[in-house]
Amino acid sequence: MMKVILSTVTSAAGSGFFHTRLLPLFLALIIVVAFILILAFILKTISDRNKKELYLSDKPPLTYWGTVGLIATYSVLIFWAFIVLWPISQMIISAFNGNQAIYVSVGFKNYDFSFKHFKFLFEETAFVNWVINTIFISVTTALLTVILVSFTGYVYSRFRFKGRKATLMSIMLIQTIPIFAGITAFFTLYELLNDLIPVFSKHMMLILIYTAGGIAGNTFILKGYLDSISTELDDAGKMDGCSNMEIYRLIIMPIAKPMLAIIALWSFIGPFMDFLLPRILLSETKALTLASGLYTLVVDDRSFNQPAFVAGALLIAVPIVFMFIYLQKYLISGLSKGSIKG
Amino acid sequence: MNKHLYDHLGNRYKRKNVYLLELATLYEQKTEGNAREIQNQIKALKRQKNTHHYVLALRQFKSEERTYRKSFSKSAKNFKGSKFIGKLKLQLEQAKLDLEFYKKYIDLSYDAQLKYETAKVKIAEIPQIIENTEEIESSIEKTLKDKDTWTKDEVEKLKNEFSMYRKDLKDEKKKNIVKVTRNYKEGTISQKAKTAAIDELNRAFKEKLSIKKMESPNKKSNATLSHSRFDLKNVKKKSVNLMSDLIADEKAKIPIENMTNTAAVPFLTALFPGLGQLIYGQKRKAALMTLISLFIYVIAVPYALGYGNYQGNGIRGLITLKGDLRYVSSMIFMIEGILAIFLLVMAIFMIIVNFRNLYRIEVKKRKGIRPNNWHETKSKLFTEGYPFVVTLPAFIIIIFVVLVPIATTILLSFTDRNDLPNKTRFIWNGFQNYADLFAGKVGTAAGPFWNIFGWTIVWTLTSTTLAILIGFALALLLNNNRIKAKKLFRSIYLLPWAVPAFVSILFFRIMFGQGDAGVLRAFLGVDTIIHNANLTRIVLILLQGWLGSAYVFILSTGVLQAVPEDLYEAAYMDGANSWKKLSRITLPIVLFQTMPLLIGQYTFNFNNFSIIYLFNGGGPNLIEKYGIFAGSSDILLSYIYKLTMDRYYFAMGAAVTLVISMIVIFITFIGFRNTKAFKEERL
Repeated sequence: MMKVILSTVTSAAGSGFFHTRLLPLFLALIIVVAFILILAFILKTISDRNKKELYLSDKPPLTYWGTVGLIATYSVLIFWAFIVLWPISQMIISAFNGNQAIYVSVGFKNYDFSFKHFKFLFEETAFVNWVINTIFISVTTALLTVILVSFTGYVYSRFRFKGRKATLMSIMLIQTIPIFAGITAFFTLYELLNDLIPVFSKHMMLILIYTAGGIAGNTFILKGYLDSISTELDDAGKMDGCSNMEIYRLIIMPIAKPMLAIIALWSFIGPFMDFLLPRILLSETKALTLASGLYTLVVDDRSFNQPAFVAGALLIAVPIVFMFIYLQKYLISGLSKGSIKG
Repeated sequence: MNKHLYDHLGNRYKRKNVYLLELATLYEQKTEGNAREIQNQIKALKRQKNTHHYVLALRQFKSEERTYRKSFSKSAKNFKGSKFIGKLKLQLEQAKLDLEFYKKYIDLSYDAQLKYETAKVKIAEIPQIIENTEEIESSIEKTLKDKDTWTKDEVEKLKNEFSMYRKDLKDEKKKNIVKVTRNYKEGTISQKAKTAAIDELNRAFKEKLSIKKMESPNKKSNATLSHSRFDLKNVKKKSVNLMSDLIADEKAKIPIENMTNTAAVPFLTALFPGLGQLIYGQKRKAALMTLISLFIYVIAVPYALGYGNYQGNGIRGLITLKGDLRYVSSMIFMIEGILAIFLLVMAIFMIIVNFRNLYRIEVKKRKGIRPNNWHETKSKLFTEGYPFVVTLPAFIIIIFVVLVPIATTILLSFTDRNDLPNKTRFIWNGFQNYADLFAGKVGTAAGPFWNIFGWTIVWTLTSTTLAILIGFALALLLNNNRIKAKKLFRSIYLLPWAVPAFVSILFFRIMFGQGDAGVLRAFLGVDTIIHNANLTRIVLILLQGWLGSAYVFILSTGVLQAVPEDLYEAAYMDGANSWKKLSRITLPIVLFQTMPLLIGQYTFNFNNFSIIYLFNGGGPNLIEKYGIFAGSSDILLSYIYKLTMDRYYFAMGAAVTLVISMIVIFITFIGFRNTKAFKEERL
């Protein structure tokens, strides 16, 4: 192990990479720092000269070094924004560049705006099938997970029964094993189930695997969430003669709705992003899901077409990105609420 | 043998069965001195059982009861009203007859008393239920009739009236809104007040409209109808339940006497769930339990013996791993064997539960407590049994889709399935794979294990730490309240997380690859990074820094915003500088709150198959160091993938999987054991 670390460091240092690339970088850094210092000085003097009006802000007035810090902060923030945006913008630019064959070219050199690659995606590949398959799998997984988890979360949060601690502990340990561990059995299991129930398709097998993989972790999240809510409402319901099922339906479900929405969202996104299991289980091109299908456009020799991949990637990334930006608060609160109680 | 009987609360009752009372008295008198004499008396009494006067009386009661039951055979159809009411009327009729019949035998037997009391409850309750139901039913009928009498013209007229009203309201609302807007423009009210006022106007409009809607007779009658239908359902369910509860209460107060000895029932019938319950007189429960019997003797046991398998051979197949047919893969024998074991374990578990249930009933019955009736069983199933009933589907799925595959992987690691794809037969191999793994001879499948293990650790630590540092630094910088356009920055920083990972990784693969698009490669000043192991590794770590920072950024931003401002003010008062504030206030709070999720990030990267596999397929391959089974940037998980999916070394892959699963489980367990929840036994 140590050997690997050492060899990584030494060979990187010896490759000439540092001399040719890092020296100019170092010089650039010095210039940037000097620039910031001078800029801060100019700004500070300008603001000092204008300081005739009454000072109204509750923040203390900026000192020279405060100005320097502020400018430095802005530069770091803008720098990172550039690093984030540059590859993504390249992706968008390249998706609409008609002047590409099967390789992507970057920038506006030889640029020709067209929808050629989108057209190719819809006409020459099974993109539409992939979308339909993916949505079928994701939606069913999300629904199944929410139904099963709402029951398990409720039971583990509100009931004390025999075997509770033992099963909870084993659920806890099971969820740490990656789904990957059972990889060899899934295909044979599918064969068995398909023999038993002929309509059982490989897509349904995927749904089962995703759902089963999600139950354990999500039970913990929902249990943690429900634990943080006092049982007063349930008790009141019990007093009024509600059965357990009615408490579940009329009290717990409305309370748990925000959390269940988050669980549904994550169980929906999971199958959306997974390319490993579909690649193992599904063989026909038409049966693939989005992730595994787009992967073939970059890797397989027969269907190799980088620009088409970029176009398809853009099509699925846009809705997901907007969803994330729109729902970021809920996604985060779900993450932290579920886990901290452990 | 006790002279008295007890109910579940421990109340004492006298025996009505004279024969048993005599026996009990004799047993009680038995002392060391007169043991023999009493024994003889007991024997004599037992011998005379068939001629005992009480036994004869009891027999007569039983035969009379039989003839009485036969004479009573009316159908519910003979009664007026709905099916529900017909049934109730029939029950009432029967209860009245029961009351008369069993009254004569109250002193003879507790069974008769129970029937008598039940009939009494029914006579008291049923008329009330019928009355309530009929009342609601007639009101429903009346509403329906009223609804039909409306003519088309009348309905049309009402509709017009409503739309007129709606128009008026709308105009008024518009006028008001205009007024509010004018006020806002003149500057007499603020923007907030304006939106609030408009909201209020809209709400008032909707409310008035919905009230007007209810004035329409059609709507009104529909609402009444749905309300009374709900009422009807409720009354039926609740009142019948109430009656059953009252009967169960009576039942609890009346003990049972056992003429026949059923002590052996739990032992003899435990293997066949349903049979014992039938003997105890719980007919419907017995029917339910028969389903379990069916599961055991139609599915589990035959499957374990090899009948009804797909191509395997039950548990036997697990030992031989092959059958008569040449083409059937050993994998099927293994999985069907595992399934058989799981089914068998489930069957045995059910039998044990059944035995305990029967045994408990038997012990209670001896004391004098009657077995539960169907109503009690049902309600028990949905109160005490509720947790088990509703989590059952989840556990079945977990057992068959998670546990069975894991068991398969465990067993597979003890076989010799390390070869060509068309080799379908394999045999047990003991610990050979593990021995190979730890020996790690270069050139074999296990050769690169230790190298990969080392790189996995380096990768996990560096990439996650880098992501955490970047993400946290960004959150901290952006938390400065002098910074403008925070929302914009936040949305941009979210992007690496929001763009699906496989999309961005594959795009980076293109950007670092050969061809025109490989601009980033040009920045590194090399021809291609695909063939340079260390550059690939460094780029992978930087890439994960890019990808993972967004998540950490969002996470710590959330926590930072929640840090109470007065903490900083207090620190400022005490003369703390920025560094002190950061290290004494911000860092501890953020770290404490996000620790579990940050640890989760380390586990995530330990298992981060996608970035490794998608970016460079684990390459470049260094044959002399890594052999043909893995590349230099492979982590353990992608190594397993390559072993199983590309090279068909299933057994070795399973062994590696098991080793790393053990490590991960152990670490999780240790971490979990130290949490508050576990220590306080709150779980």
